[in-house]
Amino acid sequence: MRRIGVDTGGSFTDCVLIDDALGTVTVEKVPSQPAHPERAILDGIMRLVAKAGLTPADIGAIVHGTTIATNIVIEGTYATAGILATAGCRDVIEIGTQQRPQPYDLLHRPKPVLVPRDRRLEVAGRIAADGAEVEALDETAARQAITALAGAGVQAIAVTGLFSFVAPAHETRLAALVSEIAPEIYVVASSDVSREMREYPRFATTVVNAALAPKLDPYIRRLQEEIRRQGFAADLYVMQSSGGIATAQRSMGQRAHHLVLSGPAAGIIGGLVTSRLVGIDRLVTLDVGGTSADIGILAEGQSRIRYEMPMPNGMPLHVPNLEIETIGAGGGSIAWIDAGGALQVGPRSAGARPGPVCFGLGGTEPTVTDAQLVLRRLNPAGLLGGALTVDRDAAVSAVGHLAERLGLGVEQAALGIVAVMEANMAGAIMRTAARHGDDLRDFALIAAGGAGGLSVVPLAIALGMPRVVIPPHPGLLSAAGLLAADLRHDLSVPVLMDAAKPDAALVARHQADLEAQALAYLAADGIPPARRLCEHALDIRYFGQEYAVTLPVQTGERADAVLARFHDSHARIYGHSAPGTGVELTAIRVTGRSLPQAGALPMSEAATEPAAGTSRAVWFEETGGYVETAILDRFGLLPGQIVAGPAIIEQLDSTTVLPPGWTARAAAGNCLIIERMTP
Amino acid sequence: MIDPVTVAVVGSVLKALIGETGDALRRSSHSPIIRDMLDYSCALFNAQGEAVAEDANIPALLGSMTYSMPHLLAENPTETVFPGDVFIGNDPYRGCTHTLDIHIFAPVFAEGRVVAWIGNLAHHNDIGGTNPGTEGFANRSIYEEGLRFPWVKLVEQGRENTALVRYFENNTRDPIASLGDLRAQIAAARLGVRRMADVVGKFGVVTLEAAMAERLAQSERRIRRVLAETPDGAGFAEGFLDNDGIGSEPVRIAVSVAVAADELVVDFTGTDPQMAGGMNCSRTATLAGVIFAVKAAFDPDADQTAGSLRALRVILPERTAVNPVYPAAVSLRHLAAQRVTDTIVRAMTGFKPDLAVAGGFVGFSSLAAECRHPRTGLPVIMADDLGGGMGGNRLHDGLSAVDPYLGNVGILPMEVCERQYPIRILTTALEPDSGGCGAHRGGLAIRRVYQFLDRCDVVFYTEQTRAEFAAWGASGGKAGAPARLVLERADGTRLPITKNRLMVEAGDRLVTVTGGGGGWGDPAQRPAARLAQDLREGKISREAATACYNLAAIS
Repeated sequence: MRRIGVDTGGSFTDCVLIDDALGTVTVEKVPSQPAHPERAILDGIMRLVAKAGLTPADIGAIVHGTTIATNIVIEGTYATAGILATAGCRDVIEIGTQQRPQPYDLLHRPKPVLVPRDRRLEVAGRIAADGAEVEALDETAARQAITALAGAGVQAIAVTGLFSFVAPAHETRLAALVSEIAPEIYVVASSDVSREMREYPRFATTVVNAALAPKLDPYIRRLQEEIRRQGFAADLYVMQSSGGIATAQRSMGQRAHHLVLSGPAAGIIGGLVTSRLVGIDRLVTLDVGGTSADIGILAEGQSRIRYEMPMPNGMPLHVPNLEIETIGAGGGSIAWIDAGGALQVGPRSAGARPGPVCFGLGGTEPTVTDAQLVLRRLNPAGLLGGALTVDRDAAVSAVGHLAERLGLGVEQAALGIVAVMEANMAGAIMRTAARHGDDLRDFALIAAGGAGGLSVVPLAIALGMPRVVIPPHPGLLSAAGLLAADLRHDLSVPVLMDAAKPDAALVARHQADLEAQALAYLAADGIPPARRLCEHALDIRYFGQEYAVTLPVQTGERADAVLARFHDSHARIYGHSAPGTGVELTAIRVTGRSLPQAGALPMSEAATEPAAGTSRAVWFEETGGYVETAILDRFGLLPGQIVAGPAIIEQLDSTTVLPPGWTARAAAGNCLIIERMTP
Repeated sequence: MIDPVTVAVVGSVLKALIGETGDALRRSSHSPIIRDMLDYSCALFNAQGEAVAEDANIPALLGSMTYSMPHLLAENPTETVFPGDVFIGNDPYRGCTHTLDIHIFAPVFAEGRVVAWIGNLAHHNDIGGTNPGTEGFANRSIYEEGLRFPWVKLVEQGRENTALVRYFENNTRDPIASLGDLRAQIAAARLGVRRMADVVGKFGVVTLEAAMAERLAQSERRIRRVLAETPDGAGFAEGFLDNDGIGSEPVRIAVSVAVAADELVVDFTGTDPQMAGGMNCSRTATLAGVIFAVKAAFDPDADQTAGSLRALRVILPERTAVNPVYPAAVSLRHLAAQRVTDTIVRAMTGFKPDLAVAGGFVGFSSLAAECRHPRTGLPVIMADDLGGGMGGNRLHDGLSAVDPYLGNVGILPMEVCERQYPIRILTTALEPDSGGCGAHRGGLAIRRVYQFLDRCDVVFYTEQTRAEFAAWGASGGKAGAPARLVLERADGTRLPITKNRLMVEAGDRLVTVTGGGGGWGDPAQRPAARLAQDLREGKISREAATACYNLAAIS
């Protein structure tokens, strides 16, 4: 099959075409059009198909990673939504956790509210904690409220009822009433989007869904139509926050909020592709851009899923999502000195405009990129193969001002800027790993994004990680990830029982039901039986705890074996366990997945003859001064060739710093594997 | 002399490390007060006990660790401290603020000596004493406030002190939660100690200690510089507690704040004598209020370390409400500390024009209920603390429904409450008309209605119930609404509540309405669009709006 991955980023839309039969890859990059993302997508894939000498009809599948949901969330440009809430609960969404994001700010700005209070209406009717009906639903009031919201011009209604995760009857009835009274209004109930306890996160998730769907659904429909119109017969798939893909149909409506992390998720899956290429199954991915860095962890060849995440505005969202830690550290991060004389780097960034000083676009404050240029790790003759000229003198002068105030030489200050940013990144990686008790000494670090290659080796040194992997195109990792992702359905039912003496028949029945549902979804998605796979897990916690550990299990596995693993996991993650105390089973989970279609993804052709290298004077932390350093063309390395540091390995979209004491080997799939030199 | 780059790198590593201990503590704790309401903090100290890095959710708690460390060190000379030890303490007369905040400290050893300490503090739901939830407004002495741990070893060289743990377990009303939380605290501290071994290995003791010292010096230089840039000046304010917890007249807190060169002096001379009840503000709690107000006013964005305290001089007359002496009861110190903080902020507005804010809600309307778990029948302690409005300020309306100043606890989720306790929450709402009128109005209060489904022994308390002590308006803004609590018995009787302990029965309801924030600026200056929006959203009624705004502008 021939498949296209198309990833819409802030600046560029990246397109990758893979021909599974021939094992060839074609890539294309076009400027993004934020107001009309589908135009750039169409432009990109048409160019891509032409470049590969194909026609649209030759393409079997198109997989799309999008930032459209992310942007709506960041910019707050939601659809007009209304809320129908259990009586006494309409303000839950505004009160939230009652916490202040900045506790020391006495001049705090008001928290953003997705749905103003006049579009939040209440309906009497109450379900108890055990699911019993305490008070019947007031249908007369419900009809009036729905009519009022329709009159206020809402495009969507979120139905938010207490204890609907136990008994959804009231929510279901309210949703039906909305469809009856105002069929043109999109309606979603909290029990449709989440079965988790805690009203605020569940209501927030529902409201976010309601405020996204009327904007996202038309976009996906439009994209699908445009693709058809251009002559593609291919199915359209969309990357989800979980790192799985779903059909366009299943990316709309009640699933709209699953797209919030569509963009970053693809990068992690790109890391997964690379891990398969090089046969390393424990990896930390580090995707460094201009303003931020995304950190993800892959253990045992699997990405990690969590079921709740904070949105950029601080609201919680219940959605299966890849654990991605984002920190404000990137090439554009600005270095500054605070009133106490402490050197700080970021979180403020020069971004694309004004950008680093050396880009000459008006930036005046020294950034990490300026520091790397001062040290000549970035090529003073220009970046992107010379397409982007840089002004090293300007960088030296900007870093120099800072150096004077710190009482350091220019290079020492530049080293310091880089070191502080890397320390911040290392701290974030450490915290991310610690959440699962990972020992980083067992992991490799993989570079992604334009700036990842500059910092991966120093980070590996700081974190005691033995190995670094540079994929063939760090800048295209997301687009590649799109083509390696599985179709994925995460299903669960909340339960509450003694995990030591579970109702085995009930557990087995839930597992069978969920599995049947997941398999039916995969069948409907067009996945043949041999490629359908179900994985099982249980959420278990000590009695009295609220956060559970999600433990992979086999169906029919004995309770004592599961519990032994639970105590071990708890001890590994949190440093203590308490065998002998009560343990509760709180959720039964099934993930239905399509097994990957193709094996290794060839990303580029290996060189057949060595390219002539050049050299320049580069300053490394370890050398304490400039040393004449080999500058190598990434794609001039022969398969199996080993390069010893100090060296700089350059390619169009990325620069890799290889310090003294480390070697880089051109390995399988055109990946570079960097390891400490054995004495 | 250590270079600034190494200081920044070590600082970044220490912050990540202490943040990691906070993650571990929260996620493995047992009680909602830690995991949902985030009533905990973690910090890292140098060998001298000065805080170098923190992971603070609740501003008040960091101050508590800072001022308790010297007591721990004094009671445990270096030669008695060994690797693998873990200390426990909670005594307000040994540096803590009230007995419910359990502090855990563990030494970090290198080259045969202590080079740092890892600490954390978590608010427990109960630690014994007269009242469920331990806190008691009417307590007459510290002996009604549960177990008091001096600075003793809970773990000795890696071996848990079983006798102490069992004694602890046997003396709290909710032993499963208490013990679970305590184990999470110990594990978090040990995690920090393990991580510090890597840090020492990487940087070496000399560099680590020099970097910690310089981090403190940077904080000191930063705050001194900000103070030096502030024109010298002084302000005075007084604030009042409704009563002493037993029923006396209002209790006065007097604060003058002065900036002179690069120093700040906070003087509580003139504050009323210590109280007979449990409302006293323990010395450390008062200092925590000072630290908060100074940081918020002068240095809100910087990392907090003990270095910033060096520019601070606090005059705390003994035997007053803000520095009571043993054995005064102090369990409700948070209410007094909030009023102390509010009063310091008010005093500072007198000479610091950019700190243009109105007063916030400091009533902290709360309840603690001893009842039976709805599924297991085992004893459980439910606790919930409600925030209210913050003051409007020169830039914005005040935040609604938050726990201002020193507090920042989360609200108890309605679904968690009903699942875990025999208490059904019927309403969680913003209270219209509670925010003080102003060009930028005060934030709104919370209304929460609890229905009891079983017999419970409940301690209720709130402050700021008198209109004259409601959140103050500023620059022409009006005061916010005061708090009010009413217990509606199943038989129809209504009992207004301020500070009470009562048995409640199935069918009784508690209606809590907290207080709103004060307004800032002349109400006539409120933009018509904002006023129209408030009316549309029902955040202000037409009647209330008519009383303070010019409604003609929007009709």
